[in-house]
Amino acid sequence: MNRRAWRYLLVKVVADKALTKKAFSENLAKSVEHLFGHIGLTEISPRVVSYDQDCSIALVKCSRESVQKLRATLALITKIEDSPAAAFVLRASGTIRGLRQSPWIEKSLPSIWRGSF
Amino acid sequence: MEDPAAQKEMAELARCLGYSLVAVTFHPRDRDEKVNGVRKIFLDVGLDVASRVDISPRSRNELLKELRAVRRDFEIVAIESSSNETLTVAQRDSRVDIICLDATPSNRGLALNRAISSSAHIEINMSTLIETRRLPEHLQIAKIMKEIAKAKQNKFGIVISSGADNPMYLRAPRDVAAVGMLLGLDKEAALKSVSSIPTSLVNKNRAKLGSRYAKEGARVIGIRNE
Repeated sequence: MNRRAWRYLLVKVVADKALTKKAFSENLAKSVEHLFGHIGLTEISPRVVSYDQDCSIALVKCSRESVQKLRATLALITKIEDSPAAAFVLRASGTIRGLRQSPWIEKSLPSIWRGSF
Repeated sequence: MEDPAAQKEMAELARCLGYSLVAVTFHPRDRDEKVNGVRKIFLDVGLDVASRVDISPRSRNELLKELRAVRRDFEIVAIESSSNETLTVAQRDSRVDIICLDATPSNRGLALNRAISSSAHIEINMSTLIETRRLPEHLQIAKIMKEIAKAKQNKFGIVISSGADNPMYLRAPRDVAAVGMLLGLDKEAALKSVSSIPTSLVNKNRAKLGSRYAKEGARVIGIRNE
């Protein structure tokens, strides 16, 4: 059996209040379920791998075939825990290393957003 | 968005999200000084700006009058109207770049029929999904899907815009394209709707507004003194 292929997205979360990994993770799953239902949630399998609370940057993984669906879901997020919020996909890659080592992060990501990245 | 600090914040975010060209909407009465002021803010962060104006005529005559007044001053002219007669004229006029169907509460009766002379594109505005919902979410999605299907059927180019007036509503171009795919566009069309279609629209209009433009397909290359 072939291994399941994943895609990793670097996501900047902007919200009025500080969020925890759990809050973002639960809200993401809820948003995916709202748009695509239970079957869609299973297919997309979104998971927050890590969440840097200081700079509000999350590393999210999903199945490779469903990356567009996850992007659409993230684009349509406007509220997290009843306060205005937005999620911007900064970069996508097939590996976590690819995201972390990208020279793009040094060049384009504002220093206040970098944190542990 | 009148505040220069807010404009700068928006420009920086857009640059960071991967945009190279953004269209900024001005009031029809705004003239060069204001447009150039905003253009400078965006150019300073490395973004090209296309000036856009949205007009909402209520009748055919009003449309033609407004087109005459604004066409030479702005790079993109968008029409938003709930009158079927106006939209029918707009889709046949080569001076109209974009038709926004959002203003129409029910555009069931609108006969989209692209004329050969038309350069109009249909705009899908993301802000109607995430910012100002006039309908419940599922009905809004169904309405946009219907509009896309109609535009595809009539061979209109489709442009998806973020319609953001606040950094919270701005989204990366690939995310906007992903929403387009969710709404019924195939991957290629969705990517084109945020990249090559708007870029070529701006380039074409810039050439038209340039001093060397004479007519569609004709350009002044020199003037002979006799």
